[in-house]
Amino acid sequence: MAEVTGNLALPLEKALKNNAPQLGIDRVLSIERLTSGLSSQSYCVETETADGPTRLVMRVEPEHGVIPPYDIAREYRLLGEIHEAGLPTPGVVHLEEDPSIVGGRFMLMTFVEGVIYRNMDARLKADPALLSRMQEQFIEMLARIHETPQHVLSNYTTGEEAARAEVAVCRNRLMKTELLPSPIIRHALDFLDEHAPPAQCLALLHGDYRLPNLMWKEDTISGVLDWELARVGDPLSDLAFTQTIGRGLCSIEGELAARYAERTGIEIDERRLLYYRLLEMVKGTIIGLAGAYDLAQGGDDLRLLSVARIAAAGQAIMGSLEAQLEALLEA
Amino acid sequence: MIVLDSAQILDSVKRSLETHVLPALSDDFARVQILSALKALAEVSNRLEIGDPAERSNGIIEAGVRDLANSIRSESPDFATKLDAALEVRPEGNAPRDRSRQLGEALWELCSGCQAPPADQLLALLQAEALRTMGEDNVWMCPEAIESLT
Repeated sequence: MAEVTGNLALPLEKALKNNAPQLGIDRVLSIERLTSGLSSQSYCVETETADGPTRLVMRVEPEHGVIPPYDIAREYRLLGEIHEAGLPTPGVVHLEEDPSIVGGRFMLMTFVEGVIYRNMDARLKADPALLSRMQEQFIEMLARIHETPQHVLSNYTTGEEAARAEVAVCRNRLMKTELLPSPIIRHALDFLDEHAPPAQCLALLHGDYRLPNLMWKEDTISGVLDWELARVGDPLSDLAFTQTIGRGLCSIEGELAARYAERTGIEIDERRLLYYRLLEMVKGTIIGLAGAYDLAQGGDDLRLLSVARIAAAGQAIMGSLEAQLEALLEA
Repeated sequence: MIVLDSAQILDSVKRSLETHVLPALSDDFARVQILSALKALAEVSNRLEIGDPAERSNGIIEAGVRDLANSIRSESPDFATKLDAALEVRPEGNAPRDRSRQLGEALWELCSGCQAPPADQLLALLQAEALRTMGEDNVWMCPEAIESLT
C-alpha cells in the first residue's frame, strides 16, 4: 500500500503551488492519516490559503493493494460528475498525476463534515427511532445513486453482459492475487459465469454501500464516500452487498427491501438477488484474500491478516448459496 | 543468541510488545497493528510447534486423491491414471507451498469443467480441504482489526 511517510508537507506544498495554483495554497500545515481505509489511503491535509485555513482530503492511489487495478483518475472523473449531478459526495479539486510526490498519484477532495456510524455504534443500538430514520435515508440515498446518470464507467446493454463483466473482473483479480489455488472460488466464478441473469434495468452502482462509507450530519447523509468499486450493473447487486459483505444495521432486506422496491419500481427478484449475493460473497472473498498477497508483496497493514481470514470464511457460505440458486433455477 | 530457541525468542518479543509498547500507544491505528502482530506471532509459534500447515494440507490432499484413484480405478481407469499422474509430478521448488500450488493447479485442471462423477468427487475433496484449513486460520484473527474497518 502506498504510504505517505516522513515530512511530506513541504514537497506537497511545492507541488500544489506549481500544479494547482487555482487552490491558492500558501502552506501545507499538516498531513494526517485517516485510518479506516484498506485500499486507497486517505489523509486529512490542513492548509493555509489567503482566505484562511482549509481542510482537504488527499486520496492516494496504492502501488499495489487488495482491489487492483487502481485508477484514481477514473474515480476523480466519476466523483466530479456525480457531485455535479447532485449526489452528496466530496467535491474533487485536484488530480495529481505525478506519483513521485507522495508515493502514488493522488486526488484532493473537499473535506465533508459529519460523523461516521459503525454497525457496533451504541447510539444506534440505544435509539431505535434514530436507526429507523437512518435506514430510511440509507434506502433513499441508494435509490438516488441508482438514478444518477454518469458517463465515466463502462456501460453495458444487458444484465447478463454486466454480470459477466463483473465476474471477469473478479477472475482477473483472483488470477493476479491468488497465492495458492482456491477451488471453491474458482468453481463459484464458473457457476456465476454460466448463470448470469438478465436485469430489469442497469444503473450506477456504488459497489461498497455500507454504513462506514457514509457521513452523517444532524441525522442526514452529508457524504457518500469510497467509490473505487463503483460500476454499472443490476441495482439488486448493491442490495445484495448490504445483505452479505456489507451486512449490518442497514441491510436492505425484508421490509426495507420492499420500501426500496416501492421507491424505485425495481422488483425484488429472489433469483437475481441470490445470484448477486453469491457474486458479492465471491468478490468480497477475493478482495479479502488479496490482503495476504498484498503482505507478500511488501504491504505493511497487518489488519489484512484478519481481513484475509474473514474473507476465507466466506468460502463456507458460497457452496450453500450455489445450492440455493441451483434449486431456484431448477424450480 | 544460540541459547534461545525460536519459540523463546518469539515469546519474549510478544511479552515486550504487550508490556512496553501497547500501553504506550495512543494512536488507534498503531495499536491495531501491534494487536495484529501479536496474533501473527502466535501463528508463527504454532507453526514452530506443530509444523507448516501447507505441509499438512498437502499430505491430506495426496492421501485423499490416492484413495479416490484406487476407488474409481475399475469404473474410471482413465481418470484414475490422471490422478496418479498429478500426484507424481513434483514442483521445481522444495517448499511446501510450491507443492500446494503445483498439486492444486494439476487437480483443478482435472475437475474444472468436467461433469463426470469422479471429477465431482475430486472437487468435493479439494473444497473440503479448503474449508478445513480455513477453520485452522482462526488463530490470527484480530477482532480489533475488523472493528476498525466495519
